[in-house]
Amino acid sequence: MNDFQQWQCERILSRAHNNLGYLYYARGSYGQAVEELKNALNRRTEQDLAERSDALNNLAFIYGLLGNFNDARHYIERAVTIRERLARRRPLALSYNTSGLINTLSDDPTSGAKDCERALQISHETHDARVAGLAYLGLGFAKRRSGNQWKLQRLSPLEAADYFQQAKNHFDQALLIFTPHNLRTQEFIVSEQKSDLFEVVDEPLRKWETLNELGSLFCDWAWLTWRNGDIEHSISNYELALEQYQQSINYQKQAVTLATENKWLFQKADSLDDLAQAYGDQSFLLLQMYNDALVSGNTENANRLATAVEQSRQEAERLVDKIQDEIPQFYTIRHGKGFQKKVQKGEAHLLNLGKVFLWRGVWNCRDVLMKSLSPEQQEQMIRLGTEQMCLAVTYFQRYWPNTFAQYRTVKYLITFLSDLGRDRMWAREQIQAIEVKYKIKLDSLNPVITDLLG
Amino acid sequence: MLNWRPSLALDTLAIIGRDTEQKAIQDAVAGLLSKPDGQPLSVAIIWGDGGVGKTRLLRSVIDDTRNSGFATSGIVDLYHADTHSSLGIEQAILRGRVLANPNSLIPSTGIDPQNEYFVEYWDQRNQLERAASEDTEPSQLEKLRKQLTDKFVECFNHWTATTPGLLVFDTVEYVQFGRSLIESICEIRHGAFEVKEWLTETLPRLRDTLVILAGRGPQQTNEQATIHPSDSPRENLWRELLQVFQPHLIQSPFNLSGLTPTETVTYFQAVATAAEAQCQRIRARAEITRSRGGLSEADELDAQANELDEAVQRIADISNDEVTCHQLCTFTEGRPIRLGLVLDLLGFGIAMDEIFHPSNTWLGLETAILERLSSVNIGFPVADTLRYLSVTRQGLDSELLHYLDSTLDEAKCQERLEAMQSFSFVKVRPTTRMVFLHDEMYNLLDELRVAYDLDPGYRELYRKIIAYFAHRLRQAGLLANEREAYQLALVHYHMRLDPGEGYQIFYRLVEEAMIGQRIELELKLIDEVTRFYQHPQYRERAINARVPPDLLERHNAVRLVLHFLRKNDNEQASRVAETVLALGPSVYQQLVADQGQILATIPQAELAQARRVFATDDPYFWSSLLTVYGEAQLYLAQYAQAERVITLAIRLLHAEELAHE
Repeated sequence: MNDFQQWQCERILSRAHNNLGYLYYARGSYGQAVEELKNALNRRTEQDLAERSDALNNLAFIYGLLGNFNDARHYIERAVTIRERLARRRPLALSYNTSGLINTLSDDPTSGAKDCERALQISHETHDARVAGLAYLGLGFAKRRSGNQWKLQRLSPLEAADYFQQAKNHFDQALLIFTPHNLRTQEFIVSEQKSDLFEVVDEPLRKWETLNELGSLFCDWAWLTWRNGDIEHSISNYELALEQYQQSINYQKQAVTLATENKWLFQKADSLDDLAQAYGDQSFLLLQMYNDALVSGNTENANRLATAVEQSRQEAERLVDKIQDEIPQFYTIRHGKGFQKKVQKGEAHLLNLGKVFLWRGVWNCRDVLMKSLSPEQQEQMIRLGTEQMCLAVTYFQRYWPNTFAQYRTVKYLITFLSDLGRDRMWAREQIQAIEVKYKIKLDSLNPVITDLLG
Repeated sequence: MLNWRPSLALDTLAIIGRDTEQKAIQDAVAGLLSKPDGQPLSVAIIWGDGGVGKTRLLRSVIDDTRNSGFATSGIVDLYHADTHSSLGIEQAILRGRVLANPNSLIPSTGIDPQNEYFVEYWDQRNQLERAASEDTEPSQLEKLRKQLTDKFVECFNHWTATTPGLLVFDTVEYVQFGRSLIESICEIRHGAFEVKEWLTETLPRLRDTLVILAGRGPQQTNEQATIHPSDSPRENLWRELLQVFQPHLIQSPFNLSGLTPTETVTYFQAVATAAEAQCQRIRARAEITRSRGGLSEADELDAQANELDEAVQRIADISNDEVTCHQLCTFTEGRPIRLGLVLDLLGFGIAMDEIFHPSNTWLGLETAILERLSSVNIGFPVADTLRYLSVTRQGLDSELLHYLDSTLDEAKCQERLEAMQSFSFVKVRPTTRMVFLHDEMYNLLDELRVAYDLDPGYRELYRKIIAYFAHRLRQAGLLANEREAYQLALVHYHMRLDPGEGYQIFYRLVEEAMIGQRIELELKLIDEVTRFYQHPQYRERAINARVPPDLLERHNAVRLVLHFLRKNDNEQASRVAETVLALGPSVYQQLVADQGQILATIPQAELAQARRVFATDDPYFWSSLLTVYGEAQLYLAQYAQAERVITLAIRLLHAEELAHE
């Protein structure tokens, strides 16, 4: 092989591995995606800076998704440095956007939005529809995360609602770009008049991401509306929240349909997860309304709401069962045997299973807090919820060590137990029993138990 | 001062033997002048072989129409790389001075020299160039380009409402290389940046204008074979142009042939008259110089005049000798460039019977003429500079000549180049001051040189030229167009020195241009290599160097897929890739579900050729194609197919790596 053939070979192989990286990302096999992208990076000769930066950028993106923010930042900085030096604006915009996503994922949505705005600015200047679509997605995501900071009392509900509205506007733009003309509805034609009139980009995966994000946005928004109903002094907030849950459900159903049509297992499971969350959250809003109706003596309404609560909850349960059924059994923790050895980290199915158990755990915990239960039922629910949360933590841990999802689940569980007055001893006993039952390790819970349960 | 003398093959004052064409064009000009504004385009097509006098006719038309109040940019020669894009053509029309008649008394200033009518066009063009440099999305660039063309048409028509216009395009046959095989079979047009599309779509929108399209006609001759000898792209090109311009033609295409024996006599007589007049001018100059005390210089001028006088006498003798005139006419096929070569030799005192024998034909004669010419000394051996000129087909200037022959300083080089311009077969490009040979001369020298492998002397010369352009490319602060010109020159000369190595350099530069989104450069590079393959002997050498023309067609296929990917048009990218797969060996055909349907859409005439081009097991080509096809499939969410083709691409290359290990 002469130098030229070697050069050609390296370039083609590098691009091919980079493409495989995208393929594994699309399939939710992030671990394999990392392997392929590293392969692509190793193939690059130093002179091919433009293409080398593609692999660096994509690697940063996947590390960001996995919650490995140190590596993500390391790679994206290298990509940006190269692309700034090359002065090619389109790839540079894509790297700014990746940087924005990493910042948002690492809980700095303000910086995330700034980066995505830079990408958007370039996309407008270069009239690049794909970059614009991705930047709108990134911006919408950053604004949604910003809006969610009301939960940490970092902003008022009104400010949060404003962020959600901004997120909605950005996602609408992304949806316009990623929806081919032949699939556009009347609703689209109206919103198109307000759009920036970019070309359409036929990339179904991005359309799915947008629909999924819109669904998640409305779920978050509904929660805000519900939890802050007393601020607005109106029952109509409950109705508004219900409407928002319905919108969330509609978007997630579209996302599920798209994923099903394309036979995307991971994306389907992901959207079903989010759909289950929307139904689950909706069922608790309806439960709140039911409780209020009982207090106010409106029996007729209470009966109607009781049915709605039941239906919504059943649908949520059905969906998480469906996810578990559709994910290959291979990934599931077995009684007394733990994981199969071949289950690799970085597989998004593990993330989906983690979420399945997280929701089951969360719903059990909320049942304890909101339903009228006998002490025995309560105890049973607390133990069941704890077990499900522990399984969720195990899946998250196996998916990728120290993810934000794992941290959030642990915190939720321990706070819940703390609120119920459960002590360290009780928690340790429960956890040991679960470890034995499933042959799993839950070491990551110990420091938090010590911190929060005394 | 060099002992150079004016050529005898001067342009005669009146053009000879082209009365019909001149009359028809003059009528069209008169028609445009007499009718009100807003007249649709008029078109004249002139066909003729090399050296038959097309360019001379065009110059004459330009001078005549200018005198009639027309404005023109001069001749836009589509041979030169800077006119190989639609932007380049517009620039050539507006800036002018592109191959204007160097002997014309009226300088070519281009259209709208005061920049009154095209201000908006230039503003918009600057915006487009800025957008291109800022990595603007390709579809948007194409949109901007189309808007710019609209603006050009608008400004042009506004301008011709006051002054009728004349646009003259020479060597139009070079436009035939615009479209690749894959673009043709997939019926894809890039449109906005391509020359043929510009000619066929923009020209018909111009008003109050006479357009002349000149070039070698549809008849394919041996010297201009095609990449694929079974094709006739030149014929296709003219058919397409005729179809488009049919409603605008002032007459059927003019097919220029050589001068008749009678016209040859007239030509010689006219040359003798012109030379005599020149002789008188030199004598007058000698007198003035002498009166100012420049005695030795005056003596030199007198000597030149005497020499010229003798030559004039010899020409007059020939013109009076019908038999010789007839023989010359037969030998040269009446082509003025060939007659000019003979005259040049006569000018140096070489007798007719020394030059040729009656039993010779031109093909045998030309070598003898060349040998004679090479032995001429005009203060320096003509052979020396002719050798440099013969290889520098991208033009030769004093700086390059100095680099090639460091024993001469740059001023000396400039003097020599100016001296060479006295020959009828040497021309200068006014925009760049680059010196060229006439096409006929290049072809003649090429045949002698490339019939076999290059001799060591020429190889060394090419190496030096390449080193010169590589050195220029390394210089700091180059303008984009300078860098582009040097890159094109590098590819040009590398391909001729070593087609294998040249192709590699071309490939890398094209890839670089694609990444940098320099569409114009990309097209020019492709054009450069396509033209290289037109030459049968170069093509032969390229095949021996394992870089056959089919390689370029396959490369074009991968490039096209990449173009659509870059435009986010993944459907089109997939369609192109699947067409190629369907044409390939069975292992690749199997990757496409509806191969029969795809093949049915390809015109029969192109199908066999396409099958042959893609019937290859070249792992680099297939892995490239599969990788970019896989990418398009990924974006279209066809993950199973994407995985299938990308892993196959990887397997192919791993097998190749193993084979080499």
